[in-house]
This record gives sequence, structure tokens and C-alpha cells, in this order.
Amino acid sequence: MIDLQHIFKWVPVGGARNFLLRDLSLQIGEGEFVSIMGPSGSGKTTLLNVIGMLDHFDEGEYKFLHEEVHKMKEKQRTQLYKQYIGFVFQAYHLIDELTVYENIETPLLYQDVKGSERKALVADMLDRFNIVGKKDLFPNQLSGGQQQLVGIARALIAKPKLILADEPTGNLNSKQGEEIMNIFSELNQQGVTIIQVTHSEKNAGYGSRIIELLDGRIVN
Amino acid sequence: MFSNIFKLIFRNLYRYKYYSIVNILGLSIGVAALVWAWQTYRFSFSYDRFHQDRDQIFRILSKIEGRDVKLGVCPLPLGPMAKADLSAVSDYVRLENINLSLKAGQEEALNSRVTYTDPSFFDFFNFPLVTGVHEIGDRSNILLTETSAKKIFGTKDPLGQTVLLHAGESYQQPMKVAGVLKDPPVNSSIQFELITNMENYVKNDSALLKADDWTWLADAIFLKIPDPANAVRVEKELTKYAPIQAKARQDLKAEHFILDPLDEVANHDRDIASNVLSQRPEDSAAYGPLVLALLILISSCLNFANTTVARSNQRLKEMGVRKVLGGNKMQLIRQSLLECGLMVFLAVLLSTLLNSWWLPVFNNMFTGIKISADYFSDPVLLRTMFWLWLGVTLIAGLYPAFYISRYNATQIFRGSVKFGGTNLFSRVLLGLQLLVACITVIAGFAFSRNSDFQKNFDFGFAVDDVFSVQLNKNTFDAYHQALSQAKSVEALAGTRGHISSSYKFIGLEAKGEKKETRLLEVGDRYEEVMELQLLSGRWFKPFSTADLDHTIVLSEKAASEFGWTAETALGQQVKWDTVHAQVIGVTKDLYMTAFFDPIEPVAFAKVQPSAYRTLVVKSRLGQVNAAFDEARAIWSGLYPMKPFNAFYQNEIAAEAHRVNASIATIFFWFAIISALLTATGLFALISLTILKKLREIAIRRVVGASPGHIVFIVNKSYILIFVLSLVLGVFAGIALTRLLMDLIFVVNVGVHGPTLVYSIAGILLLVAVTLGIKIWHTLSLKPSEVLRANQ
Ligand SMILES: Nc1ncnc2c1ncn2[C@@H]1O[C@H](COP(=O)(O)OP(=O)(O)O)[C@@H](O)[C@H]1O
Ligand SMILES: [Mg+2]
Repeated sequence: MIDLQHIFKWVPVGGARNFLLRDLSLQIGEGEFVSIMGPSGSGKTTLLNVIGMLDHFDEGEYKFLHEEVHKMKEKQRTQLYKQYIGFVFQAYHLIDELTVYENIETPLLYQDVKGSERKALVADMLDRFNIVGKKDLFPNQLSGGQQQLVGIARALIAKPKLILADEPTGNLNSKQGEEIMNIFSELNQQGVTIIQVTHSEKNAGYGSRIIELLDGRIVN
Repeated sequence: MFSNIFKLIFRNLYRYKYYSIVNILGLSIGVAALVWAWQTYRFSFSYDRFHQDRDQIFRILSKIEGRDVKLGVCPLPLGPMAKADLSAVSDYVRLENINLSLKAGQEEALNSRVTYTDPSFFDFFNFPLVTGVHEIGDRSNILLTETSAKKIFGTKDPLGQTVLLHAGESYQQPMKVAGVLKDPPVNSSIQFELITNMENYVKNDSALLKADDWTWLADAIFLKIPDPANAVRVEKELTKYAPIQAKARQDLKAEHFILDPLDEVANHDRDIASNVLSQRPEDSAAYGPLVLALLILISSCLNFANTTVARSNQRLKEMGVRKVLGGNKMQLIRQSLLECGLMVFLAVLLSTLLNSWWLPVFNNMFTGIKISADYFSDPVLLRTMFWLWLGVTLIAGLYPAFYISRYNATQIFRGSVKFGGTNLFSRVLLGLQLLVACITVIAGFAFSRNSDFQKNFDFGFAVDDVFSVQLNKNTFDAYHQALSQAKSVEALAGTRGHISSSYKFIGLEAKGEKKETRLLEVGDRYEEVMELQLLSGRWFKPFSTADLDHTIVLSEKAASEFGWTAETALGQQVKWDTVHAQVIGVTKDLYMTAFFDPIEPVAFAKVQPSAYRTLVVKSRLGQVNAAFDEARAIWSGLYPMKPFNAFYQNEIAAEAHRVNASIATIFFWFAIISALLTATGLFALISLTILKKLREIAIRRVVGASPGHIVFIVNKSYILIFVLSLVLGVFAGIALTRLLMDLIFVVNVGVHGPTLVYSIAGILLLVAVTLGIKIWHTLSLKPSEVLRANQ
């Protein structure tokens, strides 16, 4: 599904280059559940963003479902990730001015899904995560765990093939974290590919593979 | 998609109430101002456009020998002659106005203006009828306007009622009301109250006016030329009548005639004399508001752009999330523009409310202007509103839209664009706002100072305790006698000519040159009562015939026309018509039309008491109203049937004062609005700068920076732009204010140093207070808390 070959990413610092990713190669197949680990500042988020096409890289090749991402235009890339990828963030990143319902609905709006279908899909999702009663509340009226549930529901609404989660449990207590991990396992069993960044060995255990990063390089 | 975005927009508007209110209010003031200015501009150029045949209608102007300007008046027989002799002319209409006393039923006599015209009047012009018929072919018919009907008959139905013209005279005429017309619109050069047939016109000597009287100059004559291309030829052909008229009137010899298209009739300001038709507002009234309104609108757009960008950090997260969820850049720009468009739409709605208050207030400030905004029956206005909405949305919204959608999601989430920037562009926008504020504040100060200056202005004659009464040869002596007994009257002077109400133009000749001059034929002690100020020589000897017919007193301006000073003018010989006279004195200049016109040359000659028609009354100090009332009471005692025709001398100045005060008020409010807009823009940007530097400021304070240094850090990126816009603003303010002032008032005080100092001080104070509030707030935060929150 994902094929990264000799990826370099840097930012210019003065005249020199500060490498965020160096010569990073990685393949991930469909249906895998991968955990990325490593110390703070090792480039985990950067890697996730590159995979999710939110960020550019400077050298190397990236194929996603056999399509060459590095040769695409911005618009095509947006089209691609809109269709296949869902994002979950440590800080949830819900839109504060929208209700739970509207937050979950938003990706569908950008994919021009019709009204009636949207309603059905969002209702399904609310059901699935047991948050029907909260659909008219705003994010700041929810606990962190509940907000992350909404975040995941939003990521799943467009039926992505790949979920990218950057420390999804980082702001949650262990019980809430466990709940999220169980959801991920379940999804993975249904065939969704999952890549998560985590600091916790326990959470990493839910996955099938662990990738260790240090200074922008894979070390294992 | 849209419903989602609309919901979001409304929630945002509600959540950031302060921001929304300031911006919508600011924009609505800008939009309202522009609509006001636009309507004023359109009004100014809409005169006489409502007549269907307007392209076929021409007014005949006369060029008189020795007079530089054309005259609006025209020999009476020229209309019928042109129709009879010239094939290109299909019809004519003549107009003549008199003020006369009028009476209906038991009511008291009223002084009213009656317009005498031909039955063809209604074939030429489109003045709609309310009731009855518009038929004046029958000589006993008279038509009223709605206003005059109300004035004369109150709520009674006027149709079929009788009106007495020249009430109280031996030749009074009963007329039957045949119809009521709508009031002529303000943008009509032809204004009337009562209309009747030309043949009813009675001259001063109580004889009827004859249609072939070449000595008579009618107020206005129009020709209808069905093929307008023939107008040039007709104009040439009219020249053959000039000698006939010239023979009849040696004092006003016509040289040739000019055809003025109806569309142009209202466009003459100073280039036509003896013009009874109303003129459109001056150019300053058409263009001044546009300039002001554009400045305010620009300032409110800048304010929107600046506060939106300054606030964009609150929106960045939302934008980032939307990008991650698949919104592309165009969609985000569209959303942001839509948001702006909606606010502008609300502003446009609010502007209609503002203008429903402001337009009537404005109409009341100035006579001769009546504007309205009929949004739904005026397609041009509706279209203007649409373009205004679109234009303001783009101008105000484009920059923020691009700014806010520029960053990509990862940058936003990393926090590297945690706050929207105070970049050069937004600083330049703020600078522009400051510049606009400078201009309006300088104009505000300058115009209110001009208002004061003109209030205390020396016109060259008395205005405050003086009024004049119009009389005729039958009433003069008796009334003079009676009034001289009045308690509150200090002095009286009988005269024929009178400043700003009764004078004639002469071609004054000396040294072989001929100069157009206003001649006032004045009576004994006129100079004393009117407080004329003599610069040299002497005035006419009172109560003696010694100075009759061969002496003249010139104004300084009249003397200077011949290159004379007050001293060298004395003893010079001058000539006009058949009179030869010696200059015996020179007066200070007289501002006969207040401040609106340039000083004109004036001359005084002495006239014998039998010619007196005006009594000038000087009251005891400060008792002018009491004296006026007393004079009126004495009049009704003597002549209960006749209207009392009297005028306060300060009426000419009163109009100028009113106009001036109104203009000063308008500028004052515009200055306040633009200053407030600038203050909010500044506040937004400074808040942003401080937000950006909060951590830096906290650290500096921990290591011991003084508040002064903090102030410097916050402001250093603005100082250059402040100074630059202040300097530019001062120059632009001076230039624009002078331009506008000169356009409105020929005599004005201009812009002086202290005005600029006050203006700059005012603006600096505003800036300082705005900055002070924000910085004081910042300094009151505890550095430790700031640092903890910003790790
Ligand atoms: N666009 C960028 N510009 C500059 N520095 C960056 C940028 N993106 C990441 N970094 C830096 O690169 C390093 C790796 O960042 P990140 O991938 O967020 O690490 P991790 O998620 O593993 O903690 C950090 O030191 C971060 O500050
Ligand atoms: Mg990270």
C-alpha cells in the first residue's frame, strides 16, 4: 500500500540543512497495524505527515496504492488523501464552532456526498461510538476521551483505507486510551490499515509491527 | 455545504460579537455614506430630465451690449415671432413671475408668487396633475400646486374656489381654481406655486401687458424645435430681431440671442445674470460628498481587512482542520469571502436603515437638495447597491481570505504560525487608515474654524440690527411717517436701490474702458443706516439736491477695475448711459452675496425722494425682532388688506451660516467616524503584535526591562509607517480641504498652522490612548503566568 524509497526531508537553517528525515525507506502493506516509536523530536510526526501527504519531502520516491505521489500536483494529492486517508490527532483538532454532528459531517461535505446519504452515514457513526446523545454539543462541552471518539468518528466517516493517528492517546488517561486502542484493533480486523505514533509500549503492543525512529532514521 | 458554512458564519459572528459589531457598523457607515454621496451626485445632474420632449426644448438667452454675461431674460415678443417666422420652430412658451398679494374667501391677504405662462406650458413640460384640469386657455382659470393649495385653502377642496389676485388694488382679478398640480420636483429648474394665463399679467402701472411690447423682458422663453439639429440655424435667424429690441430699449440693447438646450438650463452658476430659473447644486455639493464617502468607505474596508487578519489566529486551527479533511485552498478562500460577503450584506441592510435617518436630515440642512433612496423602484440605485456589495466584499475580504488560507495544515499544527502576522501589508493598511483620519480631522477642524470666521465676518455693511420694507409710491410716505414714531427704531432711510435686493447693472465707462458694475441708487443717510465704511472722500450731502446726477461713490473693487486706489479715484470722471459723474468717495468692498461669490464692483448714486421704494430700518441695539414686529403692527394698522413685505438684512448671511454650520457638522462626524475606525484597526493590530511578543515581553521583564522599553518594542515596527502616514495625511488634508473650501466659499479662511497642530495632536492622542490601553493591560499581566502558558 505504502512504498517509501530513500526519503529525505530537510529545513534550511542558516546556510546548512537540518535533516528531519534521512534516507528513509519503508513498506507497509494493506491491513497492517503499525506503531511508530521514538524519542521526542525524532521525526515521527514528520513521517506521518509525509505519509498522509500533508507535508512535502525533498528527495526520494513515494508510491501510495501504486501511484507516484511525488509526481502529483497538489490537487491530485488532496483528491487521493481525501478518498483514502483518515487522520486522528493527539489534540483532537475538532472545529470549536461546530457541533459533534457537524464536525463528523464535514469531510463528507468536502466530498460532495448528498444530504440524505450524509445523514445516514453520520447517524451510523454516532451509533457506533455511542455518542448519539452528544450530537448537538460543542467540543468544549465534552471530555478529552469523548472528543477523541468524535475525532475518530470523523476520521472514519468517509470510509478510509488508512488511518494515521499521531499520539491519539497522548492526552487521555489509561482507561480512555485502552478504549481507543480497542477501537483501532477492531477496525484493523475489518481490514483498515492503521499507522499510529505512540510513546507507550503497551499501546504499541496492539499493532503487528513497530518502527523505531531516531534522528529521522529507522533504527530497527 | 452552504448551510454548514452559514451556520458556522453566524456562530462566529455571534461568538466574536465585538469584532462583528464594529465591522458591520463600520462597513454600513461606509456604504451608507457612499449611497448618500452617489444619490447626491445623481441628483445634481438630474435637473429637468423628467420632461419627455426635453431634447426639443431650448431656452432663449440674451446677449446684451456692454454686459459680459448672458441674461436669462428675453424680449417678450420673441416667442410668438419665432413661431410665426421660422419654420423650424413649432411652438413657444413664455414665463413671467410676480410676487403679489392674494386673497381667497375670508382669509387674510397672502404674499404669493404667481407664474404667468402660455397654455402650451403643459405641451412643453411634464408636471403631473392631481385633480381638475391643467387648462389655462380660459383666462379666468388658475392652477395651484399641492403646497400652495394647502397654504391658501387648508384642508378645504380648492377646486372651483375663487382666488383674488392683486387683492386690495383697484385692478384686482378674481380667478377660478381649475386644477391642482403636484409640486414641481426640487430638481426642476422651473419652480412655481400658482399658474395662470400670460394675458392676465398686470404691470406696475396697472395696465395689462401687451404681447408685442419690445421693451418688456420676460423671465424666460422656451422654443420647441422638433428637429434639434435645426437649433444652430434658428439661433442665427433670431439675430435679426436684436435690432428691433435694441431700438426699444436703449439701456439694454440686445446684440444676439443664444439657444440653451433644456438639459443645460440648470447648469449655469455664474455665467448667466437675471436668471429666475433654479440652478442645480454647485459642483462642490456633487463631488464633495463623493470624496468624503470614498474616504470613509475605504477606511472601513481597511478596518475590516486588518481586524480580520489580526483575528485570523483564532481561525487558523479551523482552517488547518478543514485542509486535513479535504478542503482545498479555493474552497477555503470561497468560504472566507462568503463570510465577508455576508457581513457586507448585513452592512448594506444596516446602511439602508442609517440612510432612512440621514437622508432627511441632510435634505433639511441644505435648500435646493432633495435626495432619497428608493431601493426597489430605482434600478440604477439597486444596481449600484449590488456592485457596492460585491466591490466592498472583494476589497475588504480578498486579502484576509488569501492570508488565512495560505498556510498548510502541518505548519499550523506545529504552531509555527500560531498567530496571524502583522506583516508589512497590514501595517500599510493601517497607515492608509491613519492617512484618511488625518484628512478628515483636518477638514473637520478647518471647516469649523471657517464657520466661526464667517460668523464674525465683516460684510462691509450692517447686517445685524437692520431690516428693509418694500413699499410703493402710494404707501411710502405714509408708512415712513408712521414708522419714524416707533419706539424700537433708531434710524430710517428711504432708498431705491438696496444691497442684495435692488440694484441694476450698468456699463461704467472711464479712460475709454467699460466695466460692468452694480449701481445702487440710494437715498439720504443710506450709508449711515447701512454702516457703509468710507475709505476716502465723502458721501452724498444729505437732504440736498446738490449731488444729484453728477456724483458717484465707488467701492474699492469698482475703483480698482480702472486701476485707481481709494485716493487716486477721487475727482475722476465716469460715465454710464447718458450720465456723466465725478467720483466723490470710495467705500470698503461689499460682500453682497455673503461668501458664495467673488467681490463685485459696486457704485452708489443719489436718487431723489420721489423714487424711494424701500425703507431701510435700523433698530436700537439688539432689538431688531421687536422693531420688526412693531413695523408689522404699524403696517397692518395702515393697510390691513396688503401683505407686509419685509426682510431681515442678516438673511443673506443666515443662509451662508446655515450651510457652513451644516458642512462643519458633516465634517465633524466624518472625522469622528474615521478616527474611531482607525482606533479599532490600530487596536487590533497592536493586540496582535503584543500577542506575538507576549513571551518575549515576559522574558524581557523578568530580566528587568522598563515599561518604556516594552512600549518601544511593541511599537518599533509601526513608527516609520505612523510618521509617513501622518506627513502624507497632513499634506493631503491641506490640499483636499482647501480645494473643497474654495469650491464652496469664494471667501474663506483656509487652513492655518494651529488647525494642523490641533489635528495632529488629536490624532496622536487617539493613537496614544489606544496603545496605552492595550499596553497597560499587557504590563499588568504577570510574566510568570505568561511564560507558563507559553512553554
Ligand atoms: N517545518 C519544520 N520546520 C522546522 N523544523 C521542523 C519542521 N517540522 C519539524 N521540525 C523539527 O524537526 C524535529 C522533528 O519533529 P517531529 O517530527 O514533530 O518530531 P516528533 O513528532 O518525533 O516529536 C523537531 O525538532 C521539530 O521541531
Ligand atoms: Mg510529534
